Amino acid sequence: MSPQGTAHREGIDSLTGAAGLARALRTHEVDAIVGVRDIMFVRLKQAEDELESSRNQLRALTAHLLSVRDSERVAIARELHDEFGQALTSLQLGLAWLARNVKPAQKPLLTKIGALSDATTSLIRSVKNITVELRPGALDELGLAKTLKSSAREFEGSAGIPCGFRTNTAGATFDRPAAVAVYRIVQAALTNVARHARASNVTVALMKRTYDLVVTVRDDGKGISRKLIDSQNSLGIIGMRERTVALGGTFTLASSRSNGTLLTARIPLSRVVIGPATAA
Amino acid sequence: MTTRGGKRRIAQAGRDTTPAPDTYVFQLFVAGDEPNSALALGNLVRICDAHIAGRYEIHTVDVLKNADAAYKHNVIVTPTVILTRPLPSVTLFGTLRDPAQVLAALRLTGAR
Repeated sequence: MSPQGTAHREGIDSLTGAAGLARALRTHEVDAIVGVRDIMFVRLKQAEDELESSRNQLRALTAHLLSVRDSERVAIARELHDEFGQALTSLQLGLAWLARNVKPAQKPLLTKIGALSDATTSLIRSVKNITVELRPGALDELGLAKTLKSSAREFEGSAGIPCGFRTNTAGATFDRPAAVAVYRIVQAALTNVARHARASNVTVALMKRTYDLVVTVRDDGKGISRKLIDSQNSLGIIGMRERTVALGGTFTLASSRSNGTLLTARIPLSRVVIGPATAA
Repeated sequence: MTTRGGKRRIAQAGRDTTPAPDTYVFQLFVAGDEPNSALALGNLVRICDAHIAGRYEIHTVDVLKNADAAYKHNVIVTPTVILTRPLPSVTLFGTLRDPAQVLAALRLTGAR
């Protein structure tokens, strides 16, 4: 067929008959459907635009809420550390002074002081753990990659599941709020694995690609159903997705009974890396 | 029904309304001032002016005012344009935004 003939054929196919009608509907080029009794307006594009606008507003609100929550966490961590932590340290010092000054004859008292001192030590440790949980200070001291590596090690210790970590971001400097978001995503993912996956191996990866920072958490557990992934009650998943979207990224969860679950958060480098990194 | 075209035959009431043999006659079914309908009309006029200036008539049918005409021509969506002359007739859907495809579908490719 000549080029003119081909163009003619394409023109007919794309605008006429069932294919033309389907195309016009699909591309929102139709504004009313004429029924036997009624004429129904279709404003699909408009409805889609409104839906998208509504989604964007919701995302902005969620991003704001996450930001507020992070700020409050930092404030609570500071209060806990400065007020509660210091008070407990004073208490422990006081108990130590008491223990030194109790007469040997008052053995029951000494035993009681010892028990109180142990309880105080335990409390100080708890406060420290809560503080770290609320405000990952390690992010400032160690950087994102080393903090995630440390999280993987801690996960291994607490969940008893081997957890590997790999990265190619040595030397990269990350934007602080973005790093916190990535840290929280991995934290939430590992919590889900520990609670639900029944996995025997987990791998966390933080990889710099040409345009994106790709965070993956892969486990070989029993997988997660599509219903649960999409559920409005899966707050952990919603939180991870919203944190990713707030950074202009995409979030996917691929899961099957036989292959476990692969979580992928892909975030534009421009939103998360502010310093140099080794090449991907 | 409103008419638009190079020869204005139908606009001249009381005279012979039969279009000349080489005139292209279109029926464009629209829904009031809905955006896609307006786009389709604009695009069709532009294409006709560029390729068959002075040799076309466009009869616009507003389905909100004249649903019977739509039923009669089996029109199920707007905008729909039917080339009624020359035969065979052709029915096109959508806003006619791609001139090349519209020209091909209306057998107007190369018509100047």
